[in-house]
Amino acid sequence: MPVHRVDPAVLDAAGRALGPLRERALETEDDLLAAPLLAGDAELQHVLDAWVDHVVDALRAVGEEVAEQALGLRAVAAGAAVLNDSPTRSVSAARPGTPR
Amino acid sequence: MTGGGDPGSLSATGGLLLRLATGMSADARRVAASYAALRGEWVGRASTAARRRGELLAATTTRIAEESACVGALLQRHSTDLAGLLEQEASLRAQAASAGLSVTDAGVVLAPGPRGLADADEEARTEAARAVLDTAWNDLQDRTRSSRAAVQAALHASTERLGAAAAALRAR
Repeated sequence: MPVHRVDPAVLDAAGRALGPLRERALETEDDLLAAPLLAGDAELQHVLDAWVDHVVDALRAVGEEVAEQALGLRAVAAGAAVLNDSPTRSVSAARPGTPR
Repeated sequence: MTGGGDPGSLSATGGLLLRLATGMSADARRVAASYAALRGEWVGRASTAARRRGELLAATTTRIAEESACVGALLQRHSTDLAGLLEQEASLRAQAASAGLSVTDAGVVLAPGPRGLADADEEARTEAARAVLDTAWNDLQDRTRSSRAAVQAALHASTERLGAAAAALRAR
């Protein structure tokens, strides 16, 4: 399998872009579950509570996915850093325009 | 009867959702841009898979932002509607009480309890007041039900979209 070089800084930047989303997902989940929400009607209250449950679940899915992707990007960045530091680079494709 | 409810709580949560929507839209744009930037920097199957996951994450985030904006605005509108309905209910109850009437699940009726002798004119005036208030009460009930039904339908639809988005993200 060919090994492709990538600048770890680019992967770090993508990983950093995920941070605020994960924080917002976590914070909002707590805020929503703590928010008093009184509809004044049992049926409407049930539908409203179900919607909150679903949006919280969607935020959790986003949080889980962000964590997985951040982990994956860090792993690739670490591998790329090792590869880039290696004195015998086994590179089959360089970044366009990157001097070798 | 309107059943009460707290317009302030609906409005506050609506505001929270609108802020969430704004923040998540910005997050989605940031994530989409950062993954798009990888395209020219990182090639291969792993890159393609990672970028597709990033795109799906950004799309799901955008979906949550859109649903939050939709429901946030809906809750704020319903909060205003509910406040108006509760105010009208309180006004109708006060008018009924001052006319010797009371509001029940069955509509506007003569208030229970002992009452003095009344002549035919007085009884006719009370009945006329009762009929007017009863009509207003039924109209208020219709508008309350209609308002709730519209909110429920929008919430149901949004719930389905959110469920589908979360399931798609977990199934990737």
